[in-house]
Formats: sequence, structure tokens, C-alpha cells
Amino acid sequence: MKTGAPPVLESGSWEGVTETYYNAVGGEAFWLYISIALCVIALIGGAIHEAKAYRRAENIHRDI
Amino acid sequence: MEEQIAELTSQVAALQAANGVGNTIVAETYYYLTIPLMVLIHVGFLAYEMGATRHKNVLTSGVKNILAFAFIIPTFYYFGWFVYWAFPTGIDFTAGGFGISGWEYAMAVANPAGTAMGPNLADNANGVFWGAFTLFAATTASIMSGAVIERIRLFAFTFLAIVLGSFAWVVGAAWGWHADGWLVTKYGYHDFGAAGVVHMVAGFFALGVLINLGPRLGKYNSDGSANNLAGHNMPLTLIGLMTIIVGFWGFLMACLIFPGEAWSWSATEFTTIYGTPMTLSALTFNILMAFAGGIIGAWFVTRDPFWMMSGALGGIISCAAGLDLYWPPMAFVIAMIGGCIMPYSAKLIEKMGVDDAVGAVTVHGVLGAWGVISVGIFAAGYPATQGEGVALTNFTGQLIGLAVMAGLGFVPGYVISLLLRMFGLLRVGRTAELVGLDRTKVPSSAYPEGVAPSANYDAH
Repeated sequence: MKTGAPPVLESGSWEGVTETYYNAVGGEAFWLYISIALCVIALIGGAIHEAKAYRRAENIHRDI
Repeated sequence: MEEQIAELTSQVAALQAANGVGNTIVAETYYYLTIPLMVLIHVGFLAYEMGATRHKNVLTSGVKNILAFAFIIPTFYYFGWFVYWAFPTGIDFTAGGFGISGWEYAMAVANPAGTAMGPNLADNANGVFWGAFTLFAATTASIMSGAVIERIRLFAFTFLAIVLGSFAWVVGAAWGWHADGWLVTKYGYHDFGAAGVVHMVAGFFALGVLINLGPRLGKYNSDGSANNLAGHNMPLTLIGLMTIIVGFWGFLMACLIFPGEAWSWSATEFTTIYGTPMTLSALTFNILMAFAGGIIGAWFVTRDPFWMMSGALGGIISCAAGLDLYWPPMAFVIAMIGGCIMPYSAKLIEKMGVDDAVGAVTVHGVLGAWGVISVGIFAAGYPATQGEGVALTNFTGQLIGLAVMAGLGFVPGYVISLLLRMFGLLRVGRTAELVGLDRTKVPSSAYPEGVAPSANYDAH
């Protein structure tokens, strides 16, 4: 879903490029959604890791 | 002759164009440089909080700080920047009088899937402005971070940091730190250095969280008296606080609007974010006097280096709202009053059963409030924005702003932390808190060769 990639870049030249010039793999929205998903996955993964760590501590230190 | 005139006209046009390009590059570089300076605030908070933490939890405090910074960057990109531009006139997202707010404007400049939020040769401002604001956002999270050390879950803290840094303070900024903001246009609210918008919102957010989080184990005795849970490295804390001061120069520098650009308020002079004139010289006089007044006030009351350095920060916060308006000796006095208030406020909060490990609620919430109301007391009568017949700075407007900022901070902090607590997601496990959070969940050791407490140290 690329948004208005400048045609001059497709000809292999920077001539005439005056505004946005993103022209690589995938569109802006594609990368936006991927990065959001990765943030959410990282947060959830971190929460799970933390919960496991606290349970492990309780099992190891039953005397406390 | 005509050829000579044409030649001269052409040369003048070329010089004007070159000057314009030069000004654009200088303006862009100015804001770019505020960003690494503001990263120093986070160097400082990292040192400050790790030093204030007992050694069994030190790396956990570090991880917490680093992670909040990391998550605020993308979330501020996704929606924080949009909130700043969409919300100034209120939650109806209409455009304000200066034409730089509302839903359509926000979609044009802050749509994360749009072309303005990435590489764009026509943009020499949006990226660096976004960057400066992102660092402001990260600062709010760092403010909360110190208060909640040694017992908040990393997930809960990160989630709360995102709410605070990428939403709550930004709403405050849209309303009170934007020329179209309704607090400014209707009530003349003035907050040059974000005493209310950043410090009060973050400080009161922290208070809301602390009420639900509860104190550290061992903080309070059964009779209600409080123990001092000393951090393991006071020198690190002091260096951290001084480093935060360095970073604050970048923060306050980024509060100005550079002249001479299409988006500038003025062709020839710096202005505040509201478009009112000021200079870096005026700012310099008042920052240094506020820094000194805060330290001296805190030293006078406590003789304690921790409070002296907190006073340095607190002094600047006490004057932040009016750094563009105050006479330097006045800034010194306002800051010294703030420095003197600080220890009493912290003691009162501790007596109320709220365990604020580093005094964040006092330094940022209480002194932020003092800073906001000081403009109403000492600097009333200035036009709040450009134009004729605009609202003037006044005591009532500052009071209304104070209430709004306190609410914008406290309500989401309290409500969200309450929900997290109800689902068992707010606080670390009791065993983990007792044995140490680093041993429980950090794969590395802060002091692999050990650190020995002093002989008379009373461990809790």
C-alpha cells in the first residue's frame, strides 16, 4: 500500500524529488501495523515472563 | 543600466533564498540538538533512580527506566503527536483560531500512516518537533518511574507510562501549551516551561498510582511511623540529579519557537509556544537563578545533599511556568520558596501513608502547582497569545489550569492502576520483593563481586 511514490525514483534518479521519497518495500501503513503488533507482542511477552519469575521465586523461597 | 538593475535584483533574490535556506537549516538543527540534551535527562533519571534503589533491586530500576523510554517513542509516534494537534479546543477536535489544531490539521501533520511522519524533503520541522515532544513525553514517564521503584510490575509500569507519556500529558499540552488551547484562549493560562503540563500531570499521575500500589514492604511500622529505606548509592543519585539539570536546558530550549520560518510566530525573534516574545537571554537569567534559589532553599531547611539537588530541580520547576516573564531575583525567591516547601511536603505525603521513594509527587506535583500559581501571583496581566483583545495572564486562569492538570494526571493514574491492581497485575510478588527483584527476573548482576553494606546499615 505505497502512498504516492515519486516516479522519478523509479527511473533511478533523485532529480525532481522535492517531498516524500519513501519508495522501499511495503507501504507506510504496512510497517505501521507490523510495528504496533510487535510492541503489543513484546509487552505481553514481558508480562508472561514476569509472572513466571514471581511464581518461580515463590516456589524456591517457600520459607519466606 | 536596466541590465545592471536586473542583475542586482537577481542577486538580491539569490541572497534572500540562500538566507531562507540557512535559517531553515539552523532552525532544524536547533531542535535536533535539544533532543540529545534531553536524552541527558534520562541519563540522569537512570543514575538517580538506580542510586535511590536498594542494591537488591538496582538493575530492575534501570530496566524500568530504559523500557519506559523505549515504549514511549513508538506510542508517541502512533498517537501521541496526533493528540497534541487534534485536542486543543477540546474533545470535539474542531480547529482553533490560529488554524493549527483540530482533526484535519492533525491528520495532515501527525497521521502515522501519512507522508508527513517520515523522510520528506519538504519537511525540516515535523520530525524534530515530534522528537522534542517525544522526549518531553519520556520525561513524564521518568517522573513517575522514581516514585514507584522496588515494587511495581514492569508490565504495569510500562502500560502506565504509555498512558501518561503518550496520552495524559499530551491532552494537558494540547489544552494549556498550545496557542489554540482552550485554557490559553479562554482563561489566559500561561505555562512556558510546562510546570503544569508536564510536571503536575506526571506528579499527580504518580500519586494516583502510589495510592493503589501501596508502600514498599518494611516502609511503615505497625504504629504508622515510617522507616527510611535508603538507596544504595547516594553519590550516583546526586550525579543523576545534576545531569537532569543539564538535560533541562535542552528541555527549556525546546519550549521556544525559532523565528523566521513559515511555521514561526515571528520573523525576527524567539517566541514562546503561545507566540509571545522572549529571548534565550531572559531564559538563561531565570534558569540559573531558579537553580540556585532551589538549592539554597533546600539546604537552608535540610542540610541534606539529596534535598539540595532535588531543590535544584524543584527550583527550576517552581519557576518553569514564568521563566519568560520573571525578573531574575524574583525567580530566585520563587525557587527558594519552592526549595523550602519541598521537605515539608514530602514529610506530609509520607505521613499520609504514601510511599513516594524519591519525592516525585512533591518535586513535580506540588512544586509544579506552585510554579503554575506563581504566574498568577507574580506575573498577571500579560497577553497570553498574539493578537488584540486576547486573554491576559491572571490568578483565576492559573488556578483553573492547576485544577485541570492535577485532574488530568491523578484520574487516569488512579483509575488505571486500580484496574491493574484488581486483576493482580500491578504489584510484584511478595517473595520476589523480599528476596530482591534483580535475582528474580534480571539475567545479569549489578555487582557480581558483591557490595557490602556499611557495618551500621539496618537492612529492611
